[in-house]
Amino acid sequence: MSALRLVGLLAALLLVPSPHVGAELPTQDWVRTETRMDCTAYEALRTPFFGETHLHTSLSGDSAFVRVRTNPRDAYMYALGSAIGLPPYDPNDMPTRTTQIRRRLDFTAVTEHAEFLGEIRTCLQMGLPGYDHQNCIDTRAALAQPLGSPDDPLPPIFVAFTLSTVVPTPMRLPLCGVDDVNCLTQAAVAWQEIQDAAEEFYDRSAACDFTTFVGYEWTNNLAGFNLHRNIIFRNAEVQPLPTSYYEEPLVEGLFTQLENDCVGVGNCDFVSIPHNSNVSGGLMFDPANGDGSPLTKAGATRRATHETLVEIYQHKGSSECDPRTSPNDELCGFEQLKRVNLFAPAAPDPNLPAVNFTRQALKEGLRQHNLLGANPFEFGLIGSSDSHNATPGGTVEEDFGTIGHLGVRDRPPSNPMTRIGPGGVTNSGGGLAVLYAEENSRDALFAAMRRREAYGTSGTRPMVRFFAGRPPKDLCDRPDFIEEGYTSGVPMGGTIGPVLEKKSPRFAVLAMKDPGGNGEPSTQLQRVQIVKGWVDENGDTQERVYDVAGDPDNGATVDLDTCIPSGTGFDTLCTVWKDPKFKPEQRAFYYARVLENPVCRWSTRHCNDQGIDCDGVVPPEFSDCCTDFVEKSIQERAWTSPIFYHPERFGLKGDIKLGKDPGKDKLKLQLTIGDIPPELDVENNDFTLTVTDDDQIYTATLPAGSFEVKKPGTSYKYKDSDGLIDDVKLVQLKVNSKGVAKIKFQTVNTVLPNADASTHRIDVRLTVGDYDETDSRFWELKGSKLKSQK
Amino acid sequence: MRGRNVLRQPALHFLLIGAAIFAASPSTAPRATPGPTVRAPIVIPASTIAELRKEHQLTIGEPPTTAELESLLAREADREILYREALLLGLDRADPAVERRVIEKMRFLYGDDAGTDAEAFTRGLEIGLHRDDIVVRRTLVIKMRLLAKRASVTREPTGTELDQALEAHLAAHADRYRQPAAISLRHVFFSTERRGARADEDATAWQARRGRTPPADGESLGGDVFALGHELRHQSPQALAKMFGRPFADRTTTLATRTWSAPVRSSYGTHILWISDRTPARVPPLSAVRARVLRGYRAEQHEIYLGELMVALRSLYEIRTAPVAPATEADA
Repeated sequence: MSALRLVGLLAALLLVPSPHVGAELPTQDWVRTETRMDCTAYEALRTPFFGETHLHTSLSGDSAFVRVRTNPRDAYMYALGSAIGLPPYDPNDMPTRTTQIRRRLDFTAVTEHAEFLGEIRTCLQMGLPGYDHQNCIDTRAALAQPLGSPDDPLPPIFVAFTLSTVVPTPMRLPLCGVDDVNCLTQAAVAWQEIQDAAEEFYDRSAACDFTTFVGYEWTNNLAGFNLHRNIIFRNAEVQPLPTSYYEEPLVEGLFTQLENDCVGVGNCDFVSIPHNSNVSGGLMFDPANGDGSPLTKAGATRRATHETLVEIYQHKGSSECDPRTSPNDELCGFEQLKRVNLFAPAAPDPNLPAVNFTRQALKEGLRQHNLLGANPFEFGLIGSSDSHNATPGGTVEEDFGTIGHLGVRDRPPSNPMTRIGPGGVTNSGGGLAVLYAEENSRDALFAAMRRREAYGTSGTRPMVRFFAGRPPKDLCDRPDFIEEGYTSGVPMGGTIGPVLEKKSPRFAVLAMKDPGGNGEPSTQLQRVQIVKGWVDENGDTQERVYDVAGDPDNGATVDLDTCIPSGTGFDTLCTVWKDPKFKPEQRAFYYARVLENPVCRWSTRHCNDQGIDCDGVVPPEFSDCCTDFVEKSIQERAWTSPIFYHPERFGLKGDIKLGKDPGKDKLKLQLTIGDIPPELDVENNDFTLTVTDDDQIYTATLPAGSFEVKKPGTSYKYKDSDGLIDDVKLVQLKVNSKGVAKIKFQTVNTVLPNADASTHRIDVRLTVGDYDETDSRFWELKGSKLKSQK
Repeated sequence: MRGRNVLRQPALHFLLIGAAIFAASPSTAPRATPGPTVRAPIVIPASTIAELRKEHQLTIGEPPTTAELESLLAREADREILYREALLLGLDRADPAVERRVIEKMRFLYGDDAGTDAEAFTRGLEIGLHRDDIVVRRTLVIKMRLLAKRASVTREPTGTELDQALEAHLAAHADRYRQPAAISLRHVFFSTERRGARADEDATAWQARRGRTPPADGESLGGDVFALGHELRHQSPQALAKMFGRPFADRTTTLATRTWSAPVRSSYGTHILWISDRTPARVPPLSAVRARVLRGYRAEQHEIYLGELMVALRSLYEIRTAPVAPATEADA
């Protein structure tokens, strides 16, 4: 017996009351890939950083078309609190409007459209090759004309630009010259300008005040459907040129180019963030390749590796769910864009493909996981603005009617009320991206994007924590909620197995209202919901929404004439929840949705500000002030990234008996696998079990064929009282009719000198062929036994 | 003579230098020469005023007020001045955009009779097709502004003089570059949601029990669950406002360090704070923010230069505006 163990056993005998055992801090899962100072504000428990991952300035063609003149520098200045100019510009080139963010952001990525990046510069910078081309002359002439009403046809040159991104084999406009050299040369200049601005405003000092990301938007408008992705780079090492739809019209081609330029190249790394699946004609999350060929396991893995986040909400509406496919979720009507494609007018109850919405995509992903062995749509959720005004985080309901996101398209005040795109009455202020990170630096925030520890909001700033696993039932009563959440579970975006064997894992959610500030309200919370999606026993996908905290009938409301809210809600909500319908064999996801009390929608405020009286004469251009086409009040909300339940993983209970004498130690385990996957084949593969803490405690390998086949596929046994192979006495594998497997494992008396006699974290790993899973949890010292914690 | 005096003004002088820089080859050098140049009065006719009104209505959504209209007219006059001066400086020459535009117009008017590109261009200039053309006009005005920008850089000091100018700029705009204060704190939280009116009481009681004992590293201090934990290091008032609300953040700036505070209210309840460390806000040294300061300095100098230039140029012109009719209902 080691001296350490003796001390441990004595301590246990003395029954020293240990405070809560085992709380530990999450480990930092990133390294620094850039030269910068360490942040003085570093919290191992991670705090939420509020920011923007989707933003356009005048370097984007469509922003320039709506007369926006601000650039990426202005965007960063806006995010930091400076006032910036908005069009229309007066004849002296001075902006006639200015705007200022009410509460500054922690981070921002400017994501200009990769398409037209060079074209716009070519046409607007005198003397550049291509400046004299008719396309550019037309562009400048169109820009010099006053903007018409929303009903007017677009200038033909703008139509030509747009059409070139709609066809399946896109070509740049002739202004770009032979081999597009004019435009690509200028795209490189613009790309440098984007990088320079990001560098200028990135705080590399120890204050870690503000983080910028270099990025761009790949703008696939195939047949008018939105297949757009934002590419965000981890650091200043980026692609030599953004990949546009012209170069790569398929998402797989985009990935190939990004992999060539940015995977294994220095410290380059990226994520791809799809958005507006709600106008994608079912194509964004079609479980197929871009060319229609079937998805493979490798293809699905590639998708999930690159696309770790999806915008669930932005100024072109919510992509969460569709009232048609989720009739039992009364909150799906929130901010529906109501367009069948990017260019169609908004219309009541459009018939949209179910998979246009992220909830359905997440469900389809589970189904694909069962079919392919990998989930292409295992993504986290964020919000963003998609403002084309260089106004990152300009999401406030109070301001949207006067400021808008689309330059002069939002003037005069009747324009925001139109049903004709772009913009219009079904658009909104968009949302925010929230990332949990140790510090405000690129590496730390990027790591959060990778591990999906992120949530989206509809523009407000509630704080939400979400953990799943084995958090104690009384977690909400304990001040160490966060430490314990990380210790006994995984945070939002994580994955879990059947950690409590056949019982439901526990889900802990803590929400605190937006504290408000600078004229932004601090609206109280109404309730917290958990949204579950799963694949049932027939292989069909299902969903259900549970109210888990708060009160849906709290009676809070808002006066639509004054926009003053009334009634009370909650400052904080906290609960630990179990899934009453949990089935260990069914693949599932769970995300939390946090609802605030109702407030006026921007359009209601706007109509009030314009003096529209629905009982009087309503000007026709303001008619939707007085219809039910858009909601009058909304409940701002947050959506956490889902936690994914992987039934092929295992949970366990076990103990290590620490013998009084050497050679009298014993290991006993019972593993529960939720749904045994085909690769776990003990007939044809070695069976290896390893137990480790900071050292290896025990390992055993039974060669293929060691098991006695009691019943092929469902019952196997290995027994040897002498423990000739690695002291293994018994291994029994039984699978029930639903696929739930139990593995019993016992050793004979053996020597486990590395099993420290203290409560600590122990990993148990099972490897059979391609099957390789690990259970990691605290094991408590009780008397002379180490017992796995429940 | 008036014109000569004006040319001695620094702004215009630099503009000419700028124009020389702008022109890449001798053949395209500006044709302006010092000396008397006849500058016809600028007339803003009623039709232009009507257009300005209409544009304002279209873009802003309502007719301009009298003050707004005056400002629109002044800007229109400025734009005309810049355009005229651009023509005087010959900026329309050897400009591919202007050339192209004139040729296009000639072809539209005369078809094949317009002749070769060169002929069409020459004839087009003779009949003044480049005048009052929206594209040419805009192009030239932008060109003049660019020129002013470049010219303003030519009078920028160098070496230690520049350093001094930047130091002065940093000092004058310290707010823009200041790094925020930072506070490190532990807090014990008493939730209104959980304790209702007792939150304050419980906080006070906790404080009475605790006395003066400082918090130990890793010590669990009790109280209620908080979404951000109970220890925060080196946070700016901005960050604290984001987490706890503005009044709480403001309050932390006045609390004594290394002692348990009186109860402090946040958006969520009552807190007892221990502020372990406080770093004041400071203006960083120039070396740390030089690139940003230089940019800001240049932008400011450019504005000053442009302002001086416009004052100088306005004195060269007589401006006649058609009588301005008061805004009528019809305008709205």
